[in-house]
Amino acid sequence: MRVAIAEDGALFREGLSLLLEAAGHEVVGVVGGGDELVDLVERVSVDVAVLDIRMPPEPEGGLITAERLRRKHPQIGLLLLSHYAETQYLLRVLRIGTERIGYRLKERVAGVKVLGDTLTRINAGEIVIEETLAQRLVDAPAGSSEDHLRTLSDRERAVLRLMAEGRSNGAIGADLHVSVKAVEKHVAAIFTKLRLPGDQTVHHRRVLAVLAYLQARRAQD
Amino acid sequence: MPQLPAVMLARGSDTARLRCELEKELHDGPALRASALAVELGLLLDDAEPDVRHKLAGVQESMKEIINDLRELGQVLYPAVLAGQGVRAALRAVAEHRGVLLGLDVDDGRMSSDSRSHACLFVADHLRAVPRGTAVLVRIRGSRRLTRIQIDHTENRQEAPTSTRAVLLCA
Repeated sequence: MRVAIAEDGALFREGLSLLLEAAGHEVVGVVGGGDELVDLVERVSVDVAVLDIRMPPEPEGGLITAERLRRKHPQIGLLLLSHYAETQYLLRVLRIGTERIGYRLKERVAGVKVLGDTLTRINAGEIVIEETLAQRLVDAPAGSSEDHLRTLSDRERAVLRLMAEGRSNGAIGADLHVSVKAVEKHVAAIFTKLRLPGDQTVHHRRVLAVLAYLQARRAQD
Repeated sequence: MPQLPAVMLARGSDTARLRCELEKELHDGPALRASALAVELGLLLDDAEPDVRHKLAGVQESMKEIINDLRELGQVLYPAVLAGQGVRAALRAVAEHRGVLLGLDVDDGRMSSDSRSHACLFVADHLRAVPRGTAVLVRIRGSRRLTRIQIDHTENRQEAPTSTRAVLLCA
């Protein structure tokens, strides 16, 4: 496999290059930033490009470069490496593509076999995601408000969603094309159906309703 | 559970810059060198005799744990995604790491980059002070001169949420 590396850390870059050669791959270029990588793939044939997420152009040059490469050279596999295990990065990677792409932690590919397997899967068209990231999404804490939320009507759910976005009753009314009075009625129904205690101020009950909504939404994700 | 103060005092935005620099040094220095060392161990493992291989594999696992510790320390200093993806993404990342349920209402269109970092770190530090599973609602309103922050949180929706407010002055 013909592999290009873009990584601004010299020590890690050299180690990765040796690891790839030990895995039987041909390292066709080693550069320190995204712009250099884009130039490189114009000149030489590359099967898979390995990119550090945090490299020039800062702050997330690896992601920007991956987007550019995918647009211009969709046949090139992309392995994004990072010190960071962030869902936000994963979502961005998934927006770039769901085939011939991977996102792994640097220290987790520090072996001839594991790096070789990762590249082989990407080159075969698969997506390779770091296990800890997938696990974190699965382990999201569950809420206990789903049952009560199911009793809400569609309109009440829409009102609650807008409350969670921080909208006032007036703004909710304008968005849903109903009067403020009607919104207040829906809000009161939400408080009742969610069994929020009546001895609280409206602000407290409003916050509690939104928090219950968030808990349930998180549980469903 | 640690009690949050009813009114929170703001730290200077120079602290945000310092924390950003510290995190970058941590990433570009110890974390990157440790990752390079893990790769070097991986190369040695490939050629090692079985008895040495076992020991090297143990050292490499310890190295991965150290890297994980550095990662967590960096996250506390300055959320990695803040610089590239903004306040909302950064706070969602912190909430996810902490297992906190987060609702965000952020209007930061008129805030400077420094003010955004300052406000984000301010809220992030408080997200780390509440127990896992807590539901937290954060409201941030910023102008050129000041940022108003309100944080409501509750562990039990039958109780009144704890509400805290802060005003951060922009440099």
